[in-house]
Amino acid sequence: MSGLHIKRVALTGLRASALLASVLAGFGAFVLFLQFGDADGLDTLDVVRALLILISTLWLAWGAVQALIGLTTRPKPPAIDRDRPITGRCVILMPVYNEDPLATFARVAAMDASLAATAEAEAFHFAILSDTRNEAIARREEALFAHLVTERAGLGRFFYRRRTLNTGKKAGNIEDFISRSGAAYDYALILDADSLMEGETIVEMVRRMQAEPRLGLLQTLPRVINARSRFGRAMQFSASFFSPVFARGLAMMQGEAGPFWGHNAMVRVRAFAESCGLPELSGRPPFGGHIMSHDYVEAALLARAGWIVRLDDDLGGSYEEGPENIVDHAKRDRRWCQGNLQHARVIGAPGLRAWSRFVFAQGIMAYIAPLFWLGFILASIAAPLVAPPPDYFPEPYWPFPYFPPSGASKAIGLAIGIFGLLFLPKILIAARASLSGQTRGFGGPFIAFASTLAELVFSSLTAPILLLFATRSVIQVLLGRDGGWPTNNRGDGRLTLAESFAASHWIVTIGLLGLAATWAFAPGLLLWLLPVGVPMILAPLILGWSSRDSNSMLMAVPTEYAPAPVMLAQERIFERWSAQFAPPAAAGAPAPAPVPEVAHA
Amino acid sequence: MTAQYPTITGTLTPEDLIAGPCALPDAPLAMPRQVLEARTGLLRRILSAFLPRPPAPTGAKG
Repeated sequence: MSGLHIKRVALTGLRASALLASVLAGFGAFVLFLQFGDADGLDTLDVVRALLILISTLWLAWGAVQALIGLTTRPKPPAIDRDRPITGRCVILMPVYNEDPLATFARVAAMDASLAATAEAEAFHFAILSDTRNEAIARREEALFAHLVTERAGLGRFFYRRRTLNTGKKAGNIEDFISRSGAAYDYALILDADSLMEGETIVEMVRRMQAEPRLGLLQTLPRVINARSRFGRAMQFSASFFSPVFARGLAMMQGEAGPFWGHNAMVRVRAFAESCGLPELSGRPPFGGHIMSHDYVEAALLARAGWIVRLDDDLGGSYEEGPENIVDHAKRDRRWCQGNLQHARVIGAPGLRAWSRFVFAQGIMAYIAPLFWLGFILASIAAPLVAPPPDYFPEPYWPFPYFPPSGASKAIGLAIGIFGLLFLPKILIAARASLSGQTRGFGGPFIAFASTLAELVFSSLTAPILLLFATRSVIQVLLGRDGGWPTNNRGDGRLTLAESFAASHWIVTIGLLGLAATWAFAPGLLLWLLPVGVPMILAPLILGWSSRDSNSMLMAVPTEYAPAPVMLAQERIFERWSAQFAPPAAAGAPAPAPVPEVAHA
Repeated sequence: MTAQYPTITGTLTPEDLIAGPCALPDAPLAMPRQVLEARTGLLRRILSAFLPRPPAPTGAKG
């Protein structure tokens, strides 16, 4: 048996075991719920609820299993010859779309400076691919680009192009570059406007591409940086502390069909060009038209064509920024939701690898899972209405009443199991980090553990709110409403109470109605549903509070204690440029006109 | 509007720069459209696999 064959068998075994464990957990919950429902006689709603709990638990267990796999191994770099010179040419692509060019171009300058510190800077070019629609921002982009070229002596290495029509959005932007200039490069590093990467990391990625000629795409695990708000820092902590373990689990199961998350990833230009020309789907948005979440599809197409798509989670020095408040998070999630649900149209594409189809199914499931939980809660509130009244005298002429056995112990067991699947992976990650000394960058074992508990409380408070935002997104997509292409709001995301209330009053109403209905129809459930209903009622306060700045020691991450060199460089450049380039309004120029996409968002 | 910003080495305006030396290199690479939607749907293809098919025509005698 060849080494490759053994690897394939091991991979299939790992994937099958992970799936089996999740299915078993789901069926365990299903059976336990049926036993609970059987205490007073099974009815249709009991079976429906058992099915809903099966799907929901299976989904939770899949995440937990991934974390457990991640906990058992450590990432390690592939063995390659790092003395071999880089022979290929790489272009670093920065697609921009109405973002503040001062921040974006400062990142480009910092990455160029970081690359200059390596011995391989000659092999890299930068191309800023603008899809900006706002004329004032576009003029500022041009001016700042000229400044960037001057400061970095970038003639012949820095390029800028603005499309007159942004057909195909980001995927179309990249495709336009490859169609016009792709033959000039061997590799392309695809970034987002908020991406930042160390020069050493970029050079190492090219080395890995060179070492494996079948490698079509190499994805890094970007860490969230520069978060300021409570919500942003909770996300940042989660991405820095928990995500690497989940990513390790994913990397163990990826085989040759790994993920592409759309940025902070390098592609082999020839492979990308010949495999990733995306067609427009028949029909109208949200399910037809341009493919919104193009990255998953491109990864699947590369794998279909026989190229390796790989997540190398050992690579550090890869960063991005995230939303600072729940509303911005929900807006981004609305776009991702539409993109993932659209994959229902692609999942059956001819020739795809089974794992790629499974990845599409996972993406869809990630967005419809909240609906199953909501369905379960609603069915539980309605259940007492259709349940038959208890029969205390089932035997005729028997003088003593019969009290049906309580199923409370089964329900409690089920709840403990579900909360275990939610919380245990994070607790185990904190425990392992404490034992291995990895908590040093997170303030030490005590603070890291306290941060973990704080994150669990925080995510429990925000989960019901996010559940309703996700549910609304799914319903909107299913009703055929296109979410458009809103610009990401990066920067100060502080929400006033009025803004918070405007964004969440409907959640308050649902929370109040839900708890009132529970009180009226299923008072026995009220205590169980308070942790879901109360955060909904308090949604405006939670939205506003979580968008405030945080200076707490909790949720600290390594890049806050010791920022990466490229982060420091970007900060210095940004501050210097900010003093030189006043924003257009302050400089007496006309204020930018409202951007339709932002207004839409 | 652009006059308020410094230009590169005082010789090229940002517009000239973008249209000239900093325009994307001209090196086209074809990106053919991929097939994502089968002509018939997945369900129809699965079902058609189970449907009886007419017998294959026999060759002409003689």
